[in-house]
Order: sequence, then C-alpha cells, then structure tokens
Amino acid sequence: MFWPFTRKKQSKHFEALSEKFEERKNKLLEEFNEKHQFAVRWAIRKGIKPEELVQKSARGLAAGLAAGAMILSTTVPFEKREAKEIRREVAGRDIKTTVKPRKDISDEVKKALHGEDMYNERKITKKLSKALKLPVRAELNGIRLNTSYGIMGYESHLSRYPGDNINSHLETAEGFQNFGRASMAGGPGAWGYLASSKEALSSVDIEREKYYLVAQTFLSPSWGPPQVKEWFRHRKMVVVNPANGEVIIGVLEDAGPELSTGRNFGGSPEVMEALGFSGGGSYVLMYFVDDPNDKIPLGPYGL
Amino acid sequence: MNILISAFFKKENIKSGLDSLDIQENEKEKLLQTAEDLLQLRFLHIILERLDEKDKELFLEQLDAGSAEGTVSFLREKIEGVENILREHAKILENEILQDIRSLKKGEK
Repeated sequence: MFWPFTRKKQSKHFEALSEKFEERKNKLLEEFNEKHQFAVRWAIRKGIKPEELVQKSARGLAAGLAAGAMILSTTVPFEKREAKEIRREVAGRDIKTTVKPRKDISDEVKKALHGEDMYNERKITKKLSKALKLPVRAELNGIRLNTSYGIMGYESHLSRYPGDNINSHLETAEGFQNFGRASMAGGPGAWGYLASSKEALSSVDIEREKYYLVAQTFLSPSWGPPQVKEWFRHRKMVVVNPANGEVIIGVLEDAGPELSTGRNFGGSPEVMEALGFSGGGSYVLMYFVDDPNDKIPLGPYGL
Repeated sequence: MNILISAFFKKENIKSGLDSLDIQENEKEKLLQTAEDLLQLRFLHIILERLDEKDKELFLEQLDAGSAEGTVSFLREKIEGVENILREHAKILENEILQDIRSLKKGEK
C-alpha cells in the first residue's frame, strides 16, 4: 500500500559516508578539547558554550581567511587595498563596456536537446547549429577533441601577463565581488601568457581570459604534431549546459583537466557563472564554432 | 560560506566523487555541508596550534567581534604563509574524503 508520508530510506552509501565523516568530526573535536583548553576556557568566560565556539569561530574564521585568499596573488598589503575602487587598469585601451541585448534562447536550446543522446555528435551538431544559428562542428579542419560531452570543472583566473594579479584582473568592484573569490592560477595557460606585459594587454586578450575554456587537447585523436597544439590555441568553442539551455562562446586557453579529476573540461569563473554553475560543474556539450573571420563575440550567447 | 568553498575547498572534485555513488541529491548536499564543517574545524585547530597564548586570545576576540578583515591581517602577521597552510590542509581533507568515497566503491567489487 502506498503511504504518502513514509520517509524516504537513506542510501546505503550515504549512511556509510556519514558515519565516516562523523568519526572524523568526533576525532577532531576530541583533539580540539584536549589541545585547546585555553580556547574552551575563553569561551566559558565569554558565556559561549564550547561547542558553539567551534562553530562560531570557525565560520567567522573561514569567511575572513577566504576573503584574504582573494588577494593572495598580489604583494600589496591587505589593508591598503580598496575593493570599491578596483578598476581594470588598461590605460588607453578601448574595452567594450556595452553589450547589445540579445534574445534569451535557453528555452529553445533546452527544447531542441530534450530527449537526445548527448553523445550523438551528428544529431547534436545539427540541432545546435539550427537552434543557435551558428556553424557548430564536432570536427574542424580534420581535428577534434576526445569528447564533446562531459563534466566541466570550475577553474581559477589565468595570469594574462607576468605579474598579473587579482586586483588588476577584475574590472569593477562588482566583478571583484563576484569572481574575486575564484583566486588566480599560479601561472598562464598551456600556451603561455596572453600578453608579454600589462602594457601589451589588449581588449581581445582580456576577453579571451574572461571566457576561457579548458579541454583535454592532449587526448585528441589528432594530437601529435606541434601545429595541432598551436591550432587549438584561442580556438573558438560553444559550450551548452543542456540542463538549463544556457550557452556561452569561449576560447581554448588551457589544456586539462588531468584525467584523475574525472572531469573533461574546465571553464573560467565567468563561464561557469554564465552556464549556471555556482559551486561546481556538471555535464556540458562543447563543440567547435567555425568562425574563420572571428565575427562571433565571446560571452553568453543569445540571438 | 560560498566564498570559503571557492577559495580553499575544491568542492567539485568531491561532488564528482559523490556522483559516482548511489546517493540522492539532498544527501549529497548534507555530505558536502558536513565536509565544510570538518574543514572549518580543522582550520580553527591549525590556527590555534600556531599562535601563542596571548595571540590566541586576541584572535578569539577578533573572531567574536566578527572582524573578518582584521582577523586576516592579524593572522598574516602572526603565521607565515597562513593561506598556503590552510590551502594545503583543505587539499589533505579533500583527498581523505575522496579516499573514503573510493573505498566505498572498492568494497562493492
């Protein structure tokens, strides 16, 4: 008999993992009480229950330190930074600041992909080309990726030139707030820096980093000759989140992720945000865009 | 807390690991939350271990006052490479959790 209020049974794996986590937590708490009597006494003096201390302090600490981590890649002391005044420092460059409003096509894309086998490249290519009115290709100039469907992970910002840091990286205070938390990668992408210096950084370079993508180019069946590696550089791609129909145009600027991560692609913080992935990634479709004259702009796509 | 996850804790690796298990969405969320709690506890432990008595008190007072930026400045001054230390420990915890997940999968074979 169906009983509507029956509580759903917990998964076997969930129970086992919860148990393991709980064990870890208890061990840590025991260790904490043993080693940090000072903190426990301090809490009692303050009228805070020791168990609350851990939670309260740890949460405050975590947020504070994470805020500090945003600016790890710069050498300017924390106190001297003024997040509200952060501007993209590219003097004399004509950075596009306005974007023509476009029609949101996420519903159409979702509908076009509904019920389709995501690994059927021939069909997906056709559906996407039609819905997006774009020349979408699984193979271009005889070159293809190892897969066109897989998990996309959240990447850090790339260093665009030697000495680049999170402050010089983000255009506005809002950008800093939204994407500063992603931190900076230790260096440039697989093809080196986008520009030789801050002065040489162009608006094209800025857009490329903002909407950069990562793919396992080294697993491409075409991999081998050095010209293939070079061919992948700045290669324009379309990425689709089939779950919500969001679409973005980006460029390959790094190779990865490593096989051990279980992921197939990576996206810049801006790419992930545009695709609707706030914490971590999920399955996406990634295809080449045949745009030899570089007419299709990077960023969230609409018609 | 989202800021913490992105700065120190690469949650997507754990998410991918959990995706390979027979676990419901709400259960995944609970496990990820517990993982974050574990990380916070470790952070507190690591920091306190590295401060002397006087600084411990100052540190706790700052936390109690909710001064995040002040706390960061203070810790940067008192513990060399504090962010790297925490990042390293976050990575260790991540690997331990992934190991837990792998051992569950192995146990089924």
